[in-house]
Amino acid sequence: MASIEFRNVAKSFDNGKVTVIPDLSFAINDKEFVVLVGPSGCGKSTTLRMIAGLEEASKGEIYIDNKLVNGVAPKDRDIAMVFQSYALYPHMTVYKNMAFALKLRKMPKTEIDRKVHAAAKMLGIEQLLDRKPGALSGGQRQRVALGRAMVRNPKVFLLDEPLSNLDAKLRTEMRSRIALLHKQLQTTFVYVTHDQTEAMTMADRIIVMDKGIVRQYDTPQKLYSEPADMFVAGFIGSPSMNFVDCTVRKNKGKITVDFAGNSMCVPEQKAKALVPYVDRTVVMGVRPENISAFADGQNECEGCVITAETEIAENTGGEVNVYFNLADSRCVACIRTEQKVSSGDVLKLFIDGNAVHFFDKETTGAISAV
Amino acid sequence: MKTKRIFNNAATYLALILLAAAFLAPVFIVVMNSFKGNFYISDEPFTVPKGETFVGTENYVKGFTQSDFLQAFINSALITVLSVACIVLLTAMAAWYIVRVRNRFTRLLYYLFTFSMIVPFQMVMYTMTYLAFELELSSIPGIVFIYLGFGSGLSVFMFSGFIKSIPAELEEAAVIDGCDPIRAFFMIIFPILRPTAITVAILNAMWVWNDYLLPYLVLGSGKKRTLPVAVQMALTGGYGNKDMGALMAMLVLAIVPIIVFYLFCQKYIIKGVVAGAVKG
Repeated sequence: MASIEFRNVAKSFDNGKVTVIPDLSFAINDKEFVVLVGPSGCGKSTTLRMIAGLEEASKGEIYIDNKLVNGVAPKDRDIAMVFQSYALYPHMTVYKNMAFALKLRKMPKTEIDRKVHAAAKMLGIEQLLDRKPGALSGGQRQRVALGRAMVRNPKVFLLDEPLSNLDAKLRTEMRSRIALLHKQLQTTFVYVTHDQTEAMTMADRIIVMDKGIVRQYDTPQKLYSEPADMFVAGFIGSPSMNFVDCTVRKNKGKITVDFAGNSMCVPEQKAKALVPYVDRTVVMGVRPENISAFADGQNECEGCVITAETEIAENTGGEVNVYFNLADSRCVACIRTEQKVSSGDVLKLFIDGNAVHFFDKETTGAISAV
Repeated sequence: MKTKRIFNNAATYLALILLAAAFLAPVFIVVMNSFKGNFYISDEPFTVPKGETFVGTENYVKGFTQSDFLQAFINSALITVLSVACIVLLTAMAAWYIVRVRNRFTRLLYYLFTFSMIVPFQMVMYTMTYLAFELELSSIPGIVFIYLGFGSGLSVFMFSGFIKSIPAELEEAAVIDGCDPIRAFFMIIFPILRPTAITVAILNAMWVWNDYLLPYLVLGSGKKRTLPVAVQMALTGGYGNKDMGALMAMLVLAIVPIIVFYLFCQKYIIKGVVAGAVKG
């Protein structure tokens, strides 16, 4: 159980020629489940490896449990790591894989036996202890990898995209198992993924990274409802948020936004923040789930009714993802409809004005009332 | 369709049987003649020993007692075991370093190793022998050192290819578990390398055990001579005559250990230990 802190950490490779992380600072609380999320190459795995000690920070300070760990060997950091490829020792049985770290620490055999069996029982892999990794399925190997980390009772659990090699069904199952494990172990978890669904469902807090910098560090709900910038807004949520350029106008004291021949009245709370942007172009962000099929009698004042020609319609069972063009931007709406929607259909859609976000076109930062 | 498949299978089997026969025939002829009297070896080399041509184990007793067979056998065994052990262990470590530490120096090292594979022994044998004498390497430890040099090219090449397929995450997991690099190598990497290590061991053991030229040049034909040199030197009578029966018996005795070693190890070559280490 430990807190983790990064103070102005930088990491570069090739003698400083390639900088992966320019300046990174964040703090993870004790017993917290923090997910590092971001696109490939954003530096999230490097960050995790720096916590593990597999990579040394080029600059800055890293603290685990308030102790400076720069230069401390991985084995002395009291951390355990689960790798994307599981990294199980192929020539050892499951039991030996799990007992390996304890054996190196010269723990008594009876104690090792007790710990391995307890972890195996918790993960439901007791019957696999005599098998070698080659004889296990992907899900079983994943659980063994978790078990190997668990037996050591580490201060910090590091997980590097541990579910990305599993099929969709198993991934969902393992996701809840890891979340449960965190509750049972009461240890600090740092989890790396590029899958925002994993991040949203498991994390206490999420660090969204891009090009080695933290774009936003907050709870899943805050990231969803109050994204700090267009990157976070586009990254969190599936399908991604739609972005449409619009012009801010002031009519009779009311703030409206005009786009593609439509005019939308901006709710009062959001309107305040848009005052400095009158007659300027801003980016409006709308989540696909905040666009619905317009029903007659719906209150048009709280949003905007648009007419859209369906490009492609994807039926996902409960909903239909309708792709269409709006003001030269490709947009998608997740609508609940009983009707069959096909390509070429012209639909009347309703954008929920209370759920839209506005971003500065130049800085890409969110426009919000301070 | 079925007839064609049967015909194809039969043709393949026939070709393989002929090939096996071509390779086994010399061994069979040597074994057969090792039980014949000297006269019949030159007179009827391809007949099975029976009746008056069959001399029992007489040739074996003669070959064993009248030559310095035991000493040569011990020399050969010692040189082979030590050379193979050094080659397997040190080239595995070298290959691991070359693959994992990627810089100009290791790249150059790799090219040097692979280049050494294509240099024919005959090209360097005189200079090398001279150097060996100068450095006082004309001894069993000395020749082990020379074999290590000659064997390292192919061995490093083979180990490097295999190590590239081992994910570095395995070593990282070992480091987090508490291993230092040496422990990680011996407890994790080396056991995974077993199939390649056995292949390297077999290839080098066959070569070192059967090698004639290098031990002859470096160790000479004296007390330190190896088995192939001893067989060639042994039982020579007047005017270059040889006791062919005893010679055949010595040849059989000389090839038995390496065949046993090969048969013992071949099952390990097929085993792919690394399967299942990572998502496959």
